[in-house]
Amino acid sequence: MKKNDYMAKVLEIGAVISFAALISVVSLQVFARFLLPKTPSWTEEASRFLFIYSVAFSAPLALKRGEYVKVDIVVNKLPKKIAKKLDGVIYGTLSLFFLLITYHGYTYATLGTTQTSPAMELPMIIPYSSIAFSAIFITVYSAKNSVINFKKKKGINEEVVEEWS
Amino acid sequence: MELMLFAVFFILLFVGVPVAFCLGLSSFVYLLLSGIPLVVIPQKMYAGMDAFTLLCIPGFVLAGNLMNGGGITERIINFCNAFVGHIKGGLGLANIGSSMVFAGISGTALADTASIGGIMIPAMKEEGYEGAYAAAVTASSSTIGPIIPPSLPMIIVGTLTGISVSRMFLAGAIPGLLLGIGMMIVSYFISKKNNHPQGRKFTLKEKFLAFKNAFWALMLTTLILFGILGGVFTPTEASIAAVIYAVVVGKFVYKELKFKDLPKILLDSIVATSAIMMLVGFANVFAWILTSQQVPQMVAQGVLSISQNKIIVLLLINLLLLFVGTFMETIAALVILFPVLLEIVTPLGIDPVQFGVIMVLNLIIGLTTPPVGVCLFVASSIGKVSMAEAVKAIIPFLIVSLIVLMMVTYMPSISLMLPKLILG
Repeated sequence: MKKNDYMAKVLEIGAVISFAALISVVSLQVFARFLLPKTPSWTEEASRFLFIYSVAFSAPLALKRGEYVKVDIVVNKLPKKIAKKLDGVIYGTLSLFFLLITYHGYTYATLGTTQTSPAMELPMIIPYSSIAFSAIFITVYSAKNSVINFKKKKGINEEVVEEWS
Repeated sequence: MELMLFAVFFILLFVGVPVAFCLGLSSFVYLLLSGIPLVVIPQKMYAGMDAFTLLCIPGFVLAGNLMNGGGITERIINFCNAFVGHIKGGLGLANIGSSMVFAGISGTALADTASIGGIMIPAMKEEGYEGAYAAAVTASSSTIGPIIPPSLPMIIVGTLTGISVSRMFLAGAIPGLLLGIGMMIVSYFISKKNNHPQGRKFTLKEKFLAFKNAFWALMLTTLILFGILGGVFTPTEASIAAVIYAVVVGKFVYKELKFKDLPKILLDSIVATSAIMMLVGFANVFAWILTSQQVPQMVAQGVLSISQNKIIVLLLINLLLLFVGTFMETIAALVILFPVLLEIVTPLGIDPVQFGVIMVLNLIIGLTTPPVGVCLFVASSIGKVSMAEAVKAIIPFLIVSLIVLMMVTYMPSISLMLPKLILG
């Protein structure tokens, strides 16, 4: 479990840093518009890319914390044991799905090797890679979640999260 | 083929797959079977998430969380209580009033339910209100949050249609006020009938003190609203200005915010945002399939062949959306259905801004009804009452929401007057 904590830590640090940078860049934009003669042209683009990456860092953490909204009226009616197995199947499927997204996300990112962004002239492969980057970690967390649901006595999501933290 | 897309989606949804991934998986199955290259999944996800207007989502989420960490919620509640607490059922009125003020800071209903309910529901029960009533007032008044600006659903509507977010925000202001006033009237009469307690009258000095304590919190709402309305800020800039303001006030004026808590608040806000953004991304893939297969046009033709009467078509759409809202996540429903339904109402001469408000109103009503009703669920678990009791208590408030919905649907000026007046 130690190794897993390490991965979450890295994602957490990445998320906080890119989000903090995003706030600074937009602040600079507001500040520049009122107090400087010229507003820098790159702030809008930079803030979009920083946002995409702060989401890419956080989306796997959101899965780990069970923050994705779902409809559980039917599942709640099932016996706990079956519901747990069902969750195992769901997360197993999701990890395969995200493995696939990682692959196609990589293909998509390579489309950006020849393009550069208009304002900062950044190679577009950098923002495009965010999807594949995030999908790798979602694959890992879904797989872990699936295994835990199949193996352990405890079943529902919240307890799975507990087990990790 | 398109029916299969929906069938897979609904099966996954009811099996308990998170909504965002239901959209992704059902799109994947469709693309696979139609032989469309799967690279469109990451491509359309990226395209859906890469919009400057969406950047205000983490800003407003963070500002709301900072306000809670900075003790501002309590001050808003005390302020409202000082002015209406002495009326019969005063805490109920203060609850609704606080929701309206809080709505001007946060953009989601659930945040309002959790933060105001956490303080208000136990307080109301202690004073002798029924737990079910306390939960019902909290849940229903918190749905004003996504109507009064700033509002996450309105940001999504703006992003989808290219209408300026400021215009969407303005359009929600009057309907939001109507909801608040209507709920206050209803709660007053319920309190009279059930003989709810009333608080003592506050002296003028106490009222002034409560105002002084809440002043900086109230200024934030003012800063956001007038900053956007006056054209000083774009909504994204306003959200970041709100963040900086909340940090400064929480740290230096109220002195309740600690710098060492900041990374955790930042992280919680961005993780909550990322769950919304994944939803937006996958919903965009799903919506792209619908558009490329011309589903909106087909649906529009079908509906318009039944009736071309504006009143009847709008009524049908309202019924559909009320139904969808009872189980579907608000933002996912917006991304998928808004373009489809807009196709139907545009030929009938309905303004997209007005239709955006109609759609958001419909969907937020579902936040307080079974089977899913997240706000009612959270409020009833804070109040420790059964969902069934809370549902019974919420009916009068639901009627208010439905009346406001009908007014917005059939009287365009309620939503369109303010944006026209201010933005031209």
